[in-house]
Amino acid sequence: MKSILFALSCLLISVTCSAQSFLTKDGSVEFLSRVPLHSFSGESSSLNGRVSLEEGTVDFYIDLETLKTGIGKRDKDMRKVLETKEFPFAEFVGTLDPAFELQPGDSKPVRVSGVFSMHGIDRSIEVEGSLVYVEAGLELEAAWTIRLEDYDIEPPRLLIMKVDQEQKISIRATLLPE
Amino acid sequence: MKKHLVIFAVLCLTVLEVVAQLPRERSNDRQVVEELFWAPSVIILPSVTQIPKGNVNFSIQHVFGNVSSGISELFGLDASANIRFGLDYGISDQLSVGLGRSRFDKVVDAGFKWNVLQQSEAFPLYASAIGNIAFDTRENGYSTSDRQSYFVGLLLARKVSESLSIQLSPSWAHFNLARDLQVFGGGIESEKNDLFGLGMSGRYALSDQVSLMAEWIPMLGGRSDGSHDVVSVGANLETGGHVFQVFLSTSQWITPQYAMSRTRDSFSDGEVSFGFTVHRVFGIQ
Repeated sequence: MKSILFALSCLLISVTCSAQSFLTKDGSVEFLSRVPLHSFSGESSSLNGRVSLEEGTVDFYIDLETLKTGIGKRDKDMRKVLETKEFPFAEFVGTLDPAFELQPGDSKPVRVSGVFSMHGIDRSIEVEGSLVYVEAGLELEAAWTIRLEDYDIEPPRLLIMKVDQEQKISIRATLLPE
Repeated sequence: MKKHLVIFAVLCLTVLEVVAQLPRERSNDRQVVEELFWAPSVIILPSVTQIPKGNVNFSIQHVFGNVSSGISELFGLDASANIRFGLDYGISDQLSVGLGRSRFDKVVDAGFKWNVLQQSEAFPLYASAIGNIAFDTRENGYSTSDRQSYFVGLLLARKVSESLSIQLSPSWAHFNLARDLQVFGGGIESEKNDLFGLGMSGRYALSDQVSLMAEWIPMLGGRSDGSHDVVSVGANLETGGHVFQVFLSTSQWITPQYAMSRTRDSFSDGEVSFGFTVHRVFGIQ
């Protein structure tokens, strides 16, 4: 009997631990690329992620083959440049700095330190964004900029023009309670 | 006490599993093998390469005169060229429709391409149905029916390796009007109403930007008098957005049924014409 009570207590503790954890499988990602006199964007609505407020952890990833720029040929070229067969994911794993709790209706600007990985390269970055605790869950928005050369990616060419090294990335998701 | 420790350890492990990094799972979006050919057409025949949904492919095709005409005709460049402008639109990632207009006989053609099956880890090849209807729009007194011709084909293609793709295209061409043509010397040459061909095409990539291609359409059964098989060789240049194709072909005709019926040059005799095609894809969504 004592053992059962002990186990239940432990389970309650673990359930409490995940009460401020949130998940998404359909968040959106957008990137903005520039070439001289022209810019284009790509997006995906297959962002997977988990935010745990009590642990202060953030974990997001996307299958790069789900990114679409609106032109099929360009998508194929992009997959070739990113070598998505070998490196299928872009991912970010980080910690909220500092950890905190949110109550329904709260919103808060956040800073996350972590590692962004793409094309087989890991880079430490800091990302700023915002969290809003809405009825459905946690609304997240964040944006940052990467340089392709930092991830050993050769910028593709459009005729004689090269795509700019800097890529603006933004994510948006509503994460549901885990 | 020991028992409690075991239970606690098991539950801790359970909790740890819950909070561990998300397992990375691939999306199923892109299991299909892509880029068998770099453009929607090989040279004369369509390829299995599809126009993605919501995209438009604009093509300009030129075929000049016979190279064997020599320097006085600048190897055919001075001769009357056949030119075709084409627009193809991707209704879905598997279905596209297109419209084109050629200079020779002022032929207007409308067609479709449907990728019924696609090569993937689960299936070894592409199978696409293609078809078009073409109208001779010259002011020549022909009836509406006599102006019409049709082309129907099946494209069976496989990407054998990253470099090599091959395609087999059993095809049927039909002309409502089979012309009898008087030729030099007084003879009469007759065209066929129905023609069957077995197109064979290949593409070999030399790099990410350059590939070679070849195409042969041997006729099965009868052929129009005086006609020869369509044989073409060429190269693709991929520039990111544009695909440039330069080629030598025995056919000055660009619409496939006309090429099957009216190609009068022989590859074995060195009778080929220089041509080029420019493809440009636009996203309109």
